[in-house]
Amino acid sequence: MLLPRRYWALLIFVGVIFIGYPFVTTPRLREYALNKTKLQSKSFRWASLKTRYPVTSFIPFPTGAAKPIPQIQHNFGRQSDAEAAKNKRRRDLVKGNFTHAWNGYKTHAWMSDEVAPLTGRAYNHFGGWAATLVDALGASSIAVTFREHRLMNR
Amino acid sequence: MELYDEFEVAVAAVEKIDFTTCAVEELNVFETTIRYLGGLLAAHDLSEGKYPGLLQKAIELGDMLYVAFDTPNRMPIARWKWEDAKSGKAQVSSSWVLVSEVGSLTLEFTRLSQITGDIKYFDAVQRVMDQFDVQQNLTRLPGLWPVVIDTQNLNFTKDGSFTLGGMADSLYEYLPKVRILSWRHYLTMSDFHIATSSSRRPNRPIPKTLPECHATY
Repeated sequence: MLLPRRYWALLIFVGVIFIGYPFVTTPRLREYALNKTKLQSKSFRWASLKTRYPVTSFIPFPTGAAKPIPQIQHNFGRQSDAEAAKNKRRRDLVKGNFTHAWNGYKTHAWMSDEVAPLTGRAYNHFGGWAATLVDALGASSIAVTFREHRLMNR
Repeated sequence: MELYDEFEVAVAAVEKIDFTTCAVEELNVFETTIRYLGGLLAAHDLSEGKYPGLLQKAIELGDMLYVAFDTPNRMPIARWKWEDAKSGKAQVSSSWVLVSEVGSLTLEFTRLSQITGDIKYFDAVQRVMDQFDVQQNLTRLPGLWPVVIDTQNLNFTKDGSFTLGGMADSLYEYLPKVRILSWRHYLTMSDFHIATSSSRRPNRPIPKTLPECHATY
């Protein structure tokens, strides 16, 4: 059947839309688009984002003489053998608790924010950047041991 | 030592964290600051700068959080839609904010400025604390700040509920700590006594005690 030329053009146009549309939204293409975003995010730096309301005059640090920070830790002084043993036992208990929590996190929720203590499930309530890992970095258990290590290797 | 090895494992894992993106749509700036930025900076200090990756990550995260302060009055957004900010959308601070969520950012931002020498982080939080200073004696319980404040219109005086407990505690915790950190003064026991004992008598106005405590950083 012959159609006038302008109807053929319309038919082809509609056909292209119908056939072409699924291709545009195929998972493969969508995946590509995602990867592209990921690639872009690798080179993205928050510091290079244009500031909309820039600070024109920065508040300077307070000036004045520095004073030493007083010691926070208790000074045990001279200890009897029994006292020393008791303190060591207590210290080991603290360390054991830390190790228990740390190992639980490592086994069940490594690189997630938190481990649920009973079910062992991993949760991401704090942005999903491994909150427990980063938070525990500053925990004295690690830090103290780090210092011990440093002193031992001196 | 076994834990020492764990520390090295942890640092290597931290170096892989990508702060250009996030698993949640709305980021809690306070929680992110105290847990992540605080954790990174504490580890940097305690390991005496031995792991440059820790400071690198702290700067990356600090630069991310700094964008939450990019509002017309430079007050931060406590529950922050980071993707909108990333795409360059204009943002304003909220008119309903838990007081400690904007009042407990000073330690980490101040320390980051001290370590990097870049004053912008300190400047960002000092602007917030300047507002706390201005409004401290204008509240319904002069000397203390209410649980909820309006950082969009810079009104910290409307709300009538006060506490030293949850939702406010870290604000009061950070005041003396940042004073210590700022190296200019350190808290003496008498300051601490004044600040705590007077705020336990909520019916009595407490002029010029806490301001004196906080005006020094």
